[in-house]
Amino acid sequence: MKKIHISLRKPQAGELKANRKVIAVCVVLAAMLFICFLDDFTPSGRVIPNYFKYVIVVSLIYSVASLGINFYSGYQGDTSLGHAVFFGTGAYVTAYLTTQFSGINFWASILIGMAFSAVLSLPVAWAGSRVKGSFMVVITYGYCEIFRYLAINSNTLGGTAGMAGIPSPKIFGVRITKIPWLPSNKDGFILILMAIVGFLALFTYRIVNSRVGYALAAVREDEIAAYAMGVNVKAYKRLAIITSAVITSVAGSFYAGFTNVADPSLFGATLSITIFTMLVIGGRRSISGAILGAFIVVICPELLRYVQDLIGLPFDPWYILYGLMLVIIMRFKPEGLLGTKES
Amino acid sequence: MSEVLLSTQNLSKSFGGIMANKDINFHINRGEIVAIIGPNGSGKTTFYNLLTGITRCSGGTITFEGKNITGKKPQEITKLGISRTFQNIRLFGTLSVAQNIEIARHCRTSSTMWDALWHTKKYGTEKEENAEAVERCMEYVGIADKKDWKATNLPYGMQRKLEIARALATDPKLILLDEPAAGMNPKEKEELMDIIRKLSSDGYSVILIEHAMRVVMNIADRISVFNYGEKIADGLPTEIRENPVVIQAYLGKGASADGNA
Amino acid sequence: MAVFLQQVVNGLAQGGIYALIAIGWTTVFGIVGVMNWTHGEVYMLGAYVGFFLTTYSGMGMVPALLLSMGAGAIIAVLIDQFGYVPLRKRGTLARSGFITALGLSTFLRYSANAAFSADPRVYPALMEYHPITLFSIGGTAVTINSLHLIILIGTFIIMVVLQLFFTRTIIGKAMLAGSQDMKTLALMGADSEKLIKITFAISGALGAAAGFFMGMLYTIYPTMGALAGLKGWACAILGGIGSISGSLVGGVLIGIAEALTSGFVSTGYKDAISFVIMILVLLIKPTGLMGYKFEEKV
Repeated sequence: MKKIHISLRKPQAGELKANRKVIAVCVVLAAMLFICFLDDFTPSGRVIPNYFKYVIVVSLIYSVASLGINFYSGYQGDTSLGHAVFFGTGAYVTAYLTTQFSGINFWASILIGMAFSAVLSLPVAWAGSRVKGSFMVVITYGYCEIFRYLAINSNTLGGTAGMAGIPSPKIFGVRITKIPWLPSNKDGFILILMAIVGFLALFTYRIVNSRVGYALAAVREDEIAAYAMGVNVKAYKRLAIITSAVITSVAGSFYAGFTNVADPSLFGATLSITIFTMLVIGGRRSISGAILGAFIVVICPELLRYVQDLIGLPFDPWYILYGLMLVIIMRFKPEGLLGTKES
Repeated sequence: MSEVLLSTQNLSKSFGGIMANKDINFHINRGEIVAIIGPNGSGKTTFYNLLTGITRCSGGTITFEGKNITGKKPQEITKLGISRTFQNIRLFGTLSVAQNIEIARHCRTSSTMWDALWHTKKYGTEKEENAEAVERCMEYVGIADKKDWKATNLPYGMQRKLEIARALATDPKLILLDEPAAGMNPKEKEELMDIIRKLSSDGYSVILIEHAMRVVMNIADRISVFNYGEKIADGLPTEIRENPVVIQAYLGKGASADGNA
Repeated sequence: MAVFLQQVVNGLAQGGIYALIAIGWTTVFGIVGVMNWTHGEVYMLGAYVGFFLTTYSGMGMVPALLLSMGAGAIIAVLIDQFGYVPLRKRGTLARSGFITALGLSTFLRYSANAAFSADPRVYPALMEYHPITLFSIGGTAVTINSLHLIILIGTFIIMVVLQLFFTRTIIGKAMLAGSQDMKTLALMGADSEKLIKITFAISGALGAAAGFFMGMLYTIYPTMGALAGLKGWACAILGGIGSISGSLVGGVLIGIAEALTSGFVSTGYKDAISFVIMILVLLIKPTGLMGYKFEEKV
């Protein structure tokens, strides 16, 4: 009975707009399915180069991370330059467990990585209750760099070289790279990651429009007023960073499972900044924006590398343009490409 | 006949040696409107911060509905039924009017991430209850037509009203208003007085910090006067108007209460 | 004991350089309220200007240092002009200033990488250097490298000039006041744009001086600003944001802490120690050693 009532309620302007975005996400995901299976229908074989599929997989992995950081830097509103801690933790936990213990499979390692990341996010939450703004930026930056140095100096974790030989995940005993009914070794990853990104998009959308999401909005907008409205500010800050960390950790685990290596740069501030700027470019607090941002930041350098080879540039132009892109977006569309405008 | 809703006993707060509130004994009955007046810096807002748990008191006790609530956390106090507005408006600026009010339903609802993800029955019921509460609160202060406006885009007077609506949405027993008439034009002040009177007749107790004497003298059942962190007088508006200590401390020698309206 | 003191002395020059970077951060942060993430890049560019001047025009240390500082000042003012001024005009500086700075920093760093190539460069020997014995304990001499000594003296002179500027000139006083409350200062009739430009110029000159000194000590490379910039920020936090003497103390302490870490723990953790210190300070005493407290009014 309740359900009927809800469906009869007239959708509001904001929801319609949001619905359009959800549709746009669906279209993009459908396009990727098409990419996966196009080869199946072409008798001559490879139409979509495997390298292109590789880029798609990496984009999807970063989409997960970007959706993850969205909970913290988007909905709760604090800048984090330290999300590589959770990405790296996911990657290293998967790397360590799957290479050192034959009994632990990839999927179990994801869960264990999530647990580790949740624990490692607690200090950030604690710090966030003591300092704010610019100081949280440097705290998170320093936090992930410390982990990078720990990884570099740890023999157990392979030092500078990191850990290699991470097995690709298996589904029902079949390696994800060798699923017989899929045309290439990347398609298994594409399908699974698409499902995860889709689930996370739904998860985020529903949480944001719920009591929990509203409480996060209150904390973001005005902590004192949030307290006065009966919101336990500290608990919600903790909830935001834990959720964020756990999701980012999943991305890290998949990165390790896909590339089969984990190295200290996965803990580094450079990766943190990349994850953060993906969200900023796409639009904070925008689900489709987070995904779009990840795709832009992964695909553009690959395209540019192609251009670079073509015209014989002696240097990699990506980072120069990337910096310029951030400056230009902040000047003309500070809310990000798909973000909602603020006042 | 009248039952004490909230009282403080020797409530004190010092900031590094400066007594912002000193031994304040204060009470309010159910359905009563009590105004707190006093010069700037006399500790009125600090008193609110102590009552709502945003700052911890250094001494004394706060009793609400017969229970000692001293030292409780702000979110717990809101849940017990004390709600407030702010002197420098603290709305959730980028959110809509309706969302601002729905956030205030937080302490009266309990659905979790799980409920939100799977849209459980509880989630649906609460969403519906909230929608009703939002409508009711907007009607109450007369901003129902501004439902989808962004809070920062509202005219100043309406922002103050939205703050009241938001405070109301927490289902409080006691509402603390911090200079609600500041920046309002005479017409808005009239509407504000109507709202406060209505709150009182609907059984809410209201404490009101206000500088606009006309508002205070018109609607307050009782007035407390603060000066230098101490409560220096307490009584009916007519008594306060005549009280020489008040006139001297608050209005200066030779001034009259009407002159400051 | 002698070994310990030797490590302390070894850290001093590096600490002085960090202090110079730290003051550049904290002055801009105080006046504009934005973490000027490009500061590390100004430092890097200052080091390169110094490198080109000393290598190709055979300039001596002092003129090259002064010219680098001038170049640093110009670069910093240009960064403000093209990066932050448009945001200030739109009133979006608080919201998008930091990310703009992040973008500008990336842009400058990799432009330098493209222009100067990623190869590390070495300054020519600008002076003879030899160890000078300071004192000896139990037969072991504690020495300071003459190069370190020159850098320390240079840092010290710059600090003294800066201190005089802040306490004796009207603009310097206005800057100090502005770092407490820029809005009120503007209401008092101060030309805030001019003040901001001067602040950036000073910040840039200090950053470039730090880069120049760094070039005299070690190799320089286009990405050198990333880590050094952050370490400068760590020193500023340790000393207390907004305090010049605090920055000096913070810089020297972190320089010493690094020398001790590489001497007694492991060189692998040398760069991590400043982050550890920074985080601990922020969590235990967010105002730093000599900073003041910011509180929000309810």
